[in-house]
Amino acid sequence: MTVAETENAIKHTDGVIESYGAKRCDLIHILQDVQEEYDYLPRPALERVSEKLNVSLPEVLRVATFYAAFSLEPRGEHLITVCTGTACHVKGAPRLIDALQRDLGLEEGQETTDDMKFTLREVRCVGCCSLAPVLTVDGRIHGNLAPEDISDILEDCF
Amino acid sequence: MPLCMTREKIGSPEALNSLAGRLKERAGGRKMVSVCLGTGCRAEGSGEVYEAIREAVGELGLEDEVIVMGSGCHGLCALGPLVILTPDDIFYPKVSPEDATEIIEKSVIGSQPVDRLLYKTGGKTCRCQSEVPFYGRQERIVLGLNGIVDPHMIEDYIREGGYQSLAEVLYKYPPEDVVSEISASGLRGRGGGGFPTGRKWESCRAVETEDGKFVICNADEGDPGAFMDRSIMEANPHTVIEGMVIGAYAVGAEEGYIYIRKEYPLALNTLQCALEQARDYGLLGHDILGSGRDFEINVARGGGAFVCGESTALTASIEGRVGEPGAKHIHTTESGLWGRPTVLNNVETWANVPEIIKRGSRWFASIGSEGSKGTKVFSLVGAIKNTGLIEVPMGITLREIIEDIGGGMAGNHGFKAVQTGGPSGGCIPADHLDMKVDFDSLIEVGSMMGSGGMIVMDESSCMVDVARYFLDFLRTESCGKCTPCRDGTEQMFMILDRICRGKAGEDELGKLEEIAELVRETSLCKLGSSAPNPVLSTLRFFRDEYEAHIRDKKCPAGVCSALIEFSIDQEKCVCCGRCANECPVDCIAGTAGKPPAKASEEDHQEGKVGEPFLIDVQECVKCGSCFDVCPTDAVEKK
Amino acid sequence: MSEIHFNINGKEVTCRRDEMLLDVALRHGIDIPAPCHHFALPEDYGACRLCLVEIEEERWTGVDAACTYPVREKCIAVRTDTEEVRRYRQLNLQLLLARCPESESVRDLARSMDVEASRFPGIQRQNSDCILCGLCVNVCENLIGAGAIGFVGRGAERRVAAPFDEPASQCIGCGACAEVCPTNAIKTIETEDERTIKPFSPPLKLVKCPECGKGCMTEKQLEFMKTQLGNKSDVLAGCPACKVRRRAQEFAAVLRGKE
Repeated sequence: MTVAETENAIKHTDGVIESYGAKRCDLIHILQDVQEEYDYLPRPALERVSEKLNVSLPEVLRVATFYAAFSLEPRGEHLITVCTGTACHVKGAPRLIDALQRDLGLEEGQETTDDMKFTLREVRCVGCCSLAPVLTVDGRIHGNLAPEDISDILEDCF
Repeated sequence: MPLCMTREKIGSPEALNSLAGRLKERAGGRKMVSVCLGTGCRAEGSGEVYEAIREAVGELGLEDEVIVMGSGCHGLCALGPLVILTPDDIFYPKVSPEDATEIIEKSVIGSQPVDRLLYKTGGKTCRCQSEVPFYGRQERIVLGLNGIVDPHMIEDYIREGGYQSLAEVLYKYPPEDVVSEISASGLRGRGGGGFPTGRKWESCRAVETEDGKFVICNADEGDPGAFMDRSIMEANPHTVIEGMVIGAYAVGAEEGYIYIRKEYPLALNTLQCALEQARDYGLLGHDILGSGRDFEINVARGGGAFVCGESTALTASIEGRVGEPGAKHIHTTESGLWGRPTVLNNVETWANVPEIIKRGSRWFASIGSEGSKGTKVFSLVGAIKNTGLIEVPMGITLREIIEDIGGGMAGNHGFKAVQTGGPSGGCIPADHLDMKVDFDSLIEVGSMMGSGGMIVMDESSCMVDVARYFLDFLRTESCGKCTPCRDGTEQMFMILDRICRGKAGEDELGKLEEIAELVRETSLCKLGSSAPNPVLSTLRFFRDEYEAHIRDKKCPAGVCSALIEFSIDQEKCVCCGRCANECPVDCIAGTAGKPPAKASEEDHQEGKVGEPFLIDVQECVKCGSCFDVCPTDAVEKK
Repeated sequence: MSEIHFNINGKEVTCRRDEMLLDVALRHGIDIPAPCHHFALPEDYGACRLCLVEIEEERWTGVDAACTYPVREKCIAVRTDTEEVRRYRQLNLQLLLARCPESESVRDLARSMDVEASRFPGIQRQNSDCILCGLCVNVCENLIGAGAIGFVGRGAERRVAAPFDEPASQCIGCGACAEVCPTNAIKTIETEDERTIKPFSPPLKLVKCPECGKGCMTEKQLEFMKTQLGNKSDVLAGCPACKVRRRAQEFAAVLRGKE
């Protein structure tokens, strides 16, 4: 982050904290709102939350690394989430993930493409089990997929 | 479309009654088009259908005669987008925006069904919902108003008799009578454990405190493969709210929380809107219905952690901390959220409460089986035809659910197992299909009710892979606090992974069972103690499949990629070349053209004859794309 | 507060209601392995699952951790050395050994419970002597109040770390975490001028004792304690050894004066 971006992040975080009345019990909500804005939790924001809520930084990070909804890494321009719920698993979600990793050139354990264009994540269940297997691209749900459909879906992002 | 009306506080049961009467009168005689806007139908484009129907109504100038309503989940997600017309009682599956005008002109104005749009199954055409076999065996208490009320309009709920139970309770029952009524109904917690709800309420009610008590609704629904609670909140949030207010009155709480997954944006919005409207009418907040009782509900958004299904982890999460369970020797009803007495029930449990009060505990107890009363909502998914949301009386058999409601298996494979109880549940094989579905029977076969996920698997599912999948889920969802759950599930996963890769020795099954026992007996919380279930139940019913992986290095279902190989039957190959086109690593070679067997002399001369395709097994990544696209089943998986 | 009577291994014991079973057992001289228990910390975390015992209640008998079990009237008898209890403890220890195969302390503990080696493959992560008992995090956050280290992640990926895996800026170098660590995964390393809490802190400058000239505490520690103690902070001057000597001399002088 540049100096200006950092300042902005702090300012935005202050607004979020204030909207909750700076209460300790809203730590998770505050982090959710920050994540909503940046798609990840920038370090200056985490430090600011710690300071303003009077919660130690390790405790803030403990929460931020515990819940699946948070990420400490910036994500790419497009977010692809593959549902790995049970119904999707038995209907072939692992094959969708393999195909996506191959098409996007992602190594094992790598989430975001080197050009920061795509981030691939697995989610537990988007609750559309009857359309399994399912993935979402920037929030839009695509259902009843086969690995062969992946290239078309990716093309729509360009 | 929200009707323009100001919402004023309702000060008495009589005022509520008269409002309901006025609303009924106003709705009478008007035609209604109910478009399912549940997440499933929405993903199939029901949002566009809704807009198209509204537009058609507008173009025909029928806004005053026809109500177009976006409703919650109707249940039969496999056939979405769903549209229901009342009072003509016409049911349309798979509607597209182009059908809008015809539906309005012919069915809404003309009251005649459009035959081409009706649902046809087994040679029969179904005009209305009740003729559709999927709905035939169901008994809808919790889902009863889905599709009838607009979840964003509290007036719809009030019109259908909503909040009458609350009024009755506040003015006619002392709190202890409410608790006894719930106890007498035999209602057990729908969130997993099946603890008697009445007993839970009673132990919280009995605690004397001046610091206040809490009631909480768990709407986190961390189970993968389940969407019951989400659908209830999206379709009829007021039944949950009414249930909570009744519960709060019964146990003496003035504050409550709904703990909801943030990944359910639609449910969250619907809920927030519903809370707002309930407050406007004085059905929530200060001096409810003029009774002098106060109760407020806050919304806590979960951060995504399966372990928060554990009560101590859930309360920690509401307090803004990590969802780590604590030892649970002192019940939540005595010391829960912020150390105060707390009643925690899940969405479906709360949603049952108003109906029990309205129709009486005896009515409720007459539904269901010996130890399990009432109905249960399941999300029925996987390898069957009619996937969707169902509500059935407890005690129905698995076979009835799968064959009558689910319409049997989809695709060409036979039934193999049904998985219930979420990640900590178990897999039930074909020879138990006639068992009753209730709390106790499911535990007897090594599974459990859980919150109501029901995933049907066919012979193309590998049970070792399924066990591996659940342990992979559980090891990452373990909070990591206690040794057996954190490292035990990790070791179990590693053994299962080795089995799936054909790398496991003969002694590994013994080790697996040994750790399973340890994790079950010595973990700190229920997530840990139930984590071995998927392994134990698959070992119990599908041990031969494990042995095939270990001894013969074979995956009988053809799922575990390390143990399978793809090849092309040269006789069957028609040289179309689709497999080679799809292959992501270009390891299939051949020449597209006419298959040599069918080629004529001319074809040969013109060079039109192809050469059957071959897979280079060294390069093959076993993605299965060739297998999927081959039109003649020439690609074999062994 | 009412008293509870029950027996441990057949021996009659008495305790306060809701007293933790482990405390009761230890008070009565009954040995239970409990690496994640420390007398300095008021509440046990219940993580390691080595203090498992068999508990017989009115309507339930089973195995549970003694450190988080509050004794109430329904508790009838406790057995700390059944075959099952031993087997479960040994298995949990094998899991910990797979996590920390190199740790001398874990191996010693294992040997004391007749476990030679783990039958499970290693799952080592960073800082492989750590059994994640949480004592260090608890002492730093709640007892000292520095809040320099904490848990990160969940499941098998959980570990103890300083924020962003950088040298902990909030660490005052008091060494309490190293003191309570049951496996020596945290070490206090001192040179003439500096102290480092490995693996968490940066090198921290030591304050020299005005009398003997040896380093006695870190500058940050002194600073931290001053703010906590306010105007009573003059008691901090000098190293512990010199303070004891000075106190002894003063006492001796008083005694001499009395002669």
